[in-house]
Amino acid sequence: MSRAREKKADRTSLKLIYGRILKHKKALFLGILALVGVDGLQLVVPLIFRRVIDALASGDVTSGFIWKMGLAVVAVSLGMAVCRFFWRWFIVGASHRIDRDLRSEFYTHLQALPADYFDKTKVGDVMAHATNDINAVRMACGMATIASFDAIFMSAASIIMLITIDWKLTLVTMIPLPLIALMVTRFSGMIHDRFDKVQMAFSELSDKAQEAFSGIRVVKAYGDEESENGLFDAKARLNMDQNIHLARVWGFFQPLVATLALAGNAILLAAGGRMVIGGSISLGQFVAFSSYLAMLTWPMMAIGFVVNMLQRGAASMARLMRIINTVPSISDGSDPAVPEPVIEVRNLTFAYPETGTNVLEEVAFSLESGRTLGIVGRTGSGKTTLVELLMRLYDPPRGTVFVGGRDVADLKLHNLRGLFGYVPQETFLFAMTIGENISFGAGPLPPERIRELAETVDIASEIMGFPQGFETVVGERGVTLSGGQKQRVAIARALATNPGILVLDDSLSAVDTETEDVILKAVKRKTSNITTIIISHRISTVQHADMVLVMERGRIVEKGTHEQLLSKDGFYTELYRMQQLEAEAQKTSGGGDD
Amino acid sequence: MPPHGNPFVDDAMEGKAYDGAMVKRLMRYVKPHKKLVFLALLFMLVSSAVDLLLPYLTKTAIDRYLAKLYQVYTAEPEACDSVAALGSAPDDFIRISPDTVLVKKAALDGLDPDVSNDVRGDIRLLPETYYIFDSADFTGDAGFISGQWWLVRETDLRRVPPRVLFDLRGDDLKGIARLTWILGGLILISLVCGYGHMMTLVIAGQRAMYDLRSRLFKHIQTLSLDFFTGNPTGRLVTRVANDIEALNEMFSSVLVNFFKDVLLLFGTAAILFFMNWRLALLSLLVMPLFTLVSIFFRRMTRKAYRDVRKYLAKLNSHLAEDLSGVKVVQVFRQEKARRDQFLDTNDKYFQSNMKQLVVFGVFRPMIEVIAQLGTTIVLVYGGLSVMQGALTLGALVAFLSYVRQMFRPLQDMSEKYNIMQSAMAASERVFGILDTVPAIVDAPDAEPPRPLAGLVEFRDVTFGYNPDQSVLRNVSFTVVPGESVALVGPTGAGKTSVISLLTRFWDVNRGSILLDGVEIGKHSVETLRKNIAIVLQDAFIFSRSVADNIRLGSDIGLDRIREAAEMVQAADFIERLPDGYDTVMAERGATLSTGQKQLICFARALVHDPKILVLDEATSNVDPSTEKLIQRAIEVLMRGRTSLIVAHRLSTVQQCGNILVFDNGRILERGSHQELLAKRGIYYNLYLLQWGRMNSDESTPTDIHRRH
Repeated sequence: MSRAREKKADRTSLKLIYGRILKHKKALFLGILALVGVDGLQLVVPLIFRRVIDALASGDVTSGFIWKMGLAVVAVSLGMAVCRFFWRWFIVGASHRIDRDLRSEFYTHLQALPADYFDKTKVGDVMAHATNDINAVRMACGMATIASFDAIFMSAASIIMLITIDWKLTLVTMIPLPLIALMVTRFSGMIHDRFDKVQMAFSELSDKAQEAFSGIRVVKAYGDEESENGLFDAKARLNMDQNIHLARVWGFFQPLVATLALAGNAILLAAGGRMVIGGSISLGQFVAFSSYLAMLTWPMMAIGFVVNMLQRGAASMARLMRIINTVPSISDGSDPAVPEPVIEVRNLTFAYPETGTNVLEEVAFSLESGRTLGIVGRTGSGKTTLVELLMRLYDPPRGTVFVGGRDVADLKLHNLRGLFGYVPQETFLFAMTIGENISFGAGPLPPERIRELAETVDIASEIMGFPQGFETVVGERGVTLSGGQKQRVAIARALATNPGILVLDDSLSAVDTETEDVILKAVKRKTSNITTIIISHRISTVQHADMVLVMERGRIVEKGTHEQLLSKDGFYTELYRMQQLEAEAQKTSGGGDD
Repeated sequence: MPPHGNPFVDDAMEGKAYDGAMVKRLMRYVKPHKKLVFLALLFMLVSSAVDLLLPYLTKTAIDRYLAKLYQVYTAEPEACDSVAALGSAPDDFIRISPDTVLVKKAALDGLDPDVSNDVRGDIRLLPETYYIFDSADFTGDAGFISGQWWLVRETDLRRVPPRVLFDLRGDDLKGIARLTWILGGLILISLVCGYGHMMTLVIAGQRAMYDLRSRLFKHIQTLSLDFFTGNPTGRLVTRVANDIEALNEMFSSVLVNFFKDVLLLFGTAAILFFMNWRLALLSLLVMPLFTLVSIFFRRMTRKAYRDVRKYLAKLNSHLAEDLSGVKVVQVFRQEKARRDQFLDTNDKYFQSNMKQLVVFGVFRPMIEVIAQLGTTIVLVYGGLSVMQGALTLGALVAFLSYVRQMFRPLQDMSEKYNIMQSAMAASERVFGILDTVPAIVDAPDAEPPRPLAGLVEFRDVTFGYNPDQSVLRNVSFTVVPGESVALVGPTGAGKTSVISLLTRFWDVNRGSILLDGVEIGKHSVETLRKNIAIVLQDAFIFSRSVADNIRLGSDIGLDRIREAAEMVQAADFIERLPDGYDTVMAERGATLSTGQKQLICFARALVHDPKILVLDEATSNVDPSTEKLIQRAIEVLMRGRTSLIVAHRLSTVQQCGNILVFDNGRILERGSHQELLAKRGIYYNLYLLQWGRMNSDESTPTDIHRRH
């Protein structure tokens, strides 16, 4: 049953492929025209050869005639070359266009998918779709189209030519040809299967090597090299065996097709030779017959390849369509209002769709414009989820999260997110220059502005210390940014957009307390009245906040100002005391015997 | 940069397509399979010979049986005498009357060229061609009788009923039939040999590459950890997997055809020269053009291909970035900007593809035009020669097909260039690794493997992963056999480095490490592996059975494995697995919980019954019940062994007799738990910081603190 369904899916995706090809009707038409030209001209060449040979055989020939025929061959082959160029240009060109458009579509759609899609999808898988699958579709659109039309024309034309010489001889000599087509289709299925096995063996081998190399410490520590070698050898052997297994079919395939084609020739010699002797065809016709027959070999092989390429293309198309047809779970709101930096969260309970367990439970708070909110709590207590819901990176239930007095679901995503300047916990910088990274969300900024932003986060002098300064490309050889440097660039990036609400998710964990203090003060000074949400493990970071939320297992367990919380003598107080001790400890070891 | 290849020049397009030294080294791996290679050569010779023979067969069929054509030579009897005397076979030159000789067209070929040209040039040789039959068979349908012969002009032959012809030319029919059988036989031989050639070469290549791959893997395993630090796992996997595959590709798609192509090329050329050297030379006229065009286009292709790859790489890295940075893009509302960029690169990729298309679109047809030009030269010159009688028709037909055959391997070879290039680059990288010498090997005067008592001494050890940055400075300590020591301190203080040195993953820069009073370098590596068991922070589980994961590197029996698992209390969950101890783990033990993985690693250490236990305690949180199991397992493990433990759990620290407090590469405090607490130094603070809250039920420290 699943096979039948698969077949049906294949048929649907094949239709999609044809649909894409048909979008380029003009190119397709011109390309096929050129292809017909090539095939037509190709048939002319043996015709010319035959005329020369017949003329020579009859003795009724002039040297002028031979020269003329020679020129004709050159002219015809030039014409063929031109036509060959154009079919490539039109049809393969169209397949590249299809490739480009499909990739654009794929990418554009991917962008519309929400963050949770990427949480559950492996990057490697998506990359594979973007390269291998699009490639397979391109091959199905380009090479398969060419090969199928070529096969049809070539075989039709060759057969017609053969029949004009002698239809009976045609029938007899073509006996092996359908066998070729049959072999190719059968074998290509087998080759496909065995090729898959080779691929599988190869990835098993890679996996084994991956495991052995990443576990090298354990391997060395237990002297396990020998059994690792044995296991790897087994995989390498499997890889070898599968390759040989594939070669057994693939290696037979080529000589077999050649043999079957030659078998046609043998039949020709037996039957056609008899006809020459019997005078029903001339010697020249005999020679021409043999070359037309040779022309039929390729189309027969092509049929098999076409079937194979189309199968693969359809499977790939189906995979691509699964992504393209995924409906983005976050839909844009309709309220065009640009929200004020005011936040209200009411009774928010949230679970990620795929897990089902609540990450947030009955969270409620409000944040007024220009105020600072601190959030502290252990890893996994729901802090990050909470702020990401505010920006609708994930979808909160309706009626729970309000920004600027409106339910976030009603707001235009563009306006909602425009309000925030977000510095995520895991600093992600792009492989662009530092300057470009800073102006990432704000469009191109003048160098002075970039510099000013860098100064605000206390990194300007460090960046100027790099040979390339702000032009330094992140993540390339030479300069690598430290964790703290990356974090500060990320803050500058958030500030560059002049956000209404700045969200710092543990964004200064990699810089020391004093630098953190300097940066936070500078940020406050430069952006007076900015609404700020700071998530941190450090009390020092949040102690000046207008309000601090203490979270534990998805709930707000304490809430209030630093002073209020201290007087409660709860989790917050404990954290505070410990961190004071830490500061002392640092002073001791810093000023000690070191 | 370590000497094993620059990661940024993995681009195979730049390299040579042939490197003598590399090929020589590769051949060393092929040598053990020389019987197969020899067999392959044999197959190849036969199949090439057959391939070359096939057109000759057609020529024979045409000349001997089909084109049994005669020309009429009329002259004075003396001239006829001399012409008729030339014949070697009775039907070559037939005297039908004193002044007429029938000259067989094909027979003229067999003569000395000067003589045959004399005859051909003789205007007394009439150009019309005739089939001849016995006059007794004359049917009256066509032709005429001359002497005892019935002559039918070639063009009039169809007017004679075929039945009569078949009857008359029974011998020719038999000849054709015989040739057909021979052809059939040759086809079968060609099939068998072609297949045999391919298979033997593929098998030889696969075996050779298996040997190389296996050797490479073994070699990588012997290399020291500094090599692994310099070469990310992914790169090493690429060497072992993809690079060897590139060499395989060379074997299966280049070498398989290469020798045959070369042989065919030279074989065909030789035959051409043998048949007619003048015509052969003429057909080779196009060769310089062929070479020139190939070189020119190779350059063009390389540039076009480089662009294609460049933009494809850009597309991929853009996509990869967007996938991992999806939240940043969304929050900063840069979807459109990123999209525009991507679409722009996509368009450039398209343009570069089109450029490549143009290059190939011009190149391939052009090569074909050149090949056709070669054939045309043969057609024209050969046609003219036939006219002059300097060449038989059959020879021309055969010659034409040989010329076409000669160009095919040339085209093939010019298209295999890329594969050769990447194979050469791959072998360079592979041999680069094989040439890397392991930094840590047994000293020549190393002691034979022996059991240790477990005395560990660090004397003034200084060490850094790179020499100018020390992570350990003047560290000295001693652990007597059976004693346990906890290493504590903030991250980056040097605790893990102590462990790496003790297991000799690295060698010290200064100072010395002694085991049982002997320098660690003087012990054989085997002594270390047999006496020291190490449990690392990330509980590494291999994708093998649970039992194999525990017995790792030894052949310990299932009983002892069970026993060990029971002692660390892992037996419970292991037995609940589908196949118990034989359950094959998913990659990295993905189906187990963190705690379970740790327990398996403990069992692994325990079963090896080491004298010295090295444990880098995992920091990750596990549920309280597993936590208890782990605590008890550590206790079991430490019992009666010299133990060095990088401790994160208070319970573990408290179980150790001695505590070393590390900070910034030095030991700042040492002593027992109580001593160190009493000191009120770093340990005291650390204690409060890390464990104070977790263990609030324990009175002392929190109380002290509260009284503050």
